[in-house]
Amino acid sequence: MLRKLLAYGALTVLSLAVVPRVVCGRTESAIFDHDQAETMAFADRIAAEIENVNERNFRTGSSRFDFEWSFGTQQMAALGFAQVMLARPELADRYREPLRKALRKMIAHETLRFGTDAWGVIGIPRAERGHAYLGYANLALGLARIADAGFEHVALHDQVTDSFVKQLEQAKLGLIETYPGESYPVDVASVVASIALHDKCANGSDRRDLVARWQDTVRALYVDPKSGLLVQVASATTGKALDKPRASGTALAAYFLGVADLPLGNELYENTERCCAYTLFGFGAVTEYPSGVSGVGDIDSGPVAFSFGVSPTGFLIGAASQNQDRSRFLSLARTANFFGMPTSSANGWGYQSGGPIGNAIMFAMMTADRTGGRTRRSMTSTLLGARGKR
Amino acid sequence: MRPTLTSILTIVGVAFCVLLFDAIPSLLPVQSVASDLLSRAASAAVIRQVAIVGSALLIRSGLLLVASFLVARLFAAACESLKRLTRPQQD
Repeated sequence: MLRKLLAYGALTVLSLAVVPRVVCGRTESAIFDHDQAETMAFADRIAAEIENVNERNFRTGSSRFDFEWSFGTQQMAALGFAQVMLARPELADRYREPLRKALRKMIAHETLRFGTDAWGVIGIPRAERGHAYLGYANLALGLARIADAGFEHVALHDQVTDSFVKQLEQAKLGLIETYPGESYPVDVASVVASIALHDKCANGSDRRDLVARWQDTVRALYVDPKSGLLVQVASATTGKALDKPRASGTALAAYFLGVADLPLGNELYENTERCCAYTLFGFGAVTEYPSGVSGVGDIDSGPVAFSFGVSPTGFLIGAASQNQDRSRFLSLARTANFFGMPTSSANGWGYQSGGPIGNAIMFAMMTADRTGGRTRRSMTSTLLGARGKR
Repeated sequence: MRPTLTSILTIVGVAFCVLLFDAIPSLLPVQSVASDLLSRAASAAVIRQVAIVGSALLIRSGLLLVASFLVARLFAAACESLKRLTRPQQD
């Protein structure tokens, strides 16, 4: 009798280790493998969803964050569309217009108010100081420039990149302010990734030395030696860390740098994985803080439960995808599937519980790849070779 | 009940659990509460949404548990059959 009970117990545990992992993440697995139907279903939903997204869709309690999330929704959607167009050129015509719409909304004066209001300017500034949040936009513009033959914002892309190059050359401590007096290494990672990406698509542009120097500075000053995570906030004037090392910023920086195929992105991915990623029965999650460091959830990490953060878990999916780490990608994607509660409708497939920004982030992360990486290297080279640099 | 019929019903049960698992987010009016949670807003609408999301997660967890248990039963039945089949040969 006891033997029978033990056998049943063992079989139930075995089933628990197998069944949920098979049930969750089937669509995500197909998207990782570039399945056309599943990728299109997700992209179609995003295209329909972001049409009417604005700051009024969010209720963070802060007008700045509501505008930030509206901007982030368009930026992540744009990155996702560009990634899909690069991975599957046969879908480029289908997603060219959604990509262009997302970019237009992303750089609209109204959308950028969260940053421009903080600096007391109107529209996209010719910045001599700050505005690192524009690195997010510039990265999306760069990837779109590679993916879309009729890219509409060449002058703006060149102008913003030049402004960042000048600032970075002056920044001895490797930081550019996002808002007056506030510097976030992850935001500067988006700036630097956008500069490196500009090199890949603009004539005569070669900032490899500047980009390499910045990566060395970050390794020396802003990567926590114990955990390998990036500190979330630092002083642009002293280089001193003003917040703890955190996985949300590190995983997002790993993704941004990975878009431009920069080695620091790889390192940050491996560090985050080693220090903060956990898997049980095939379901993965990432803690916001390394072990021994305590903290609470905020606008960057999203809700944190039992130390595990929504943002670091989501962002690491992108870096895992870029690193072709199928096992890590699937474990995190299963968790996203379980908590994200995806639905299928006439508009396509997407997550319900993350809202428009959650969906757009997951879209960018799940379709992430390296522009110079293994799976896209030949295609990007083909595109650039065929068109020549603009 | 005959073992074959039991196995068929168990497989149908597993399939039903999986279908229902996928359908729960559509059956319940799940919406995002992330920004509300961050703003710590506690209006009736937010509490209702949190309750819906929580219920959906609980139901989905329950369905995964039931499906796992049914598969365990299926494994057990398969082991029993295998044992019965191999016994005469051992004799």
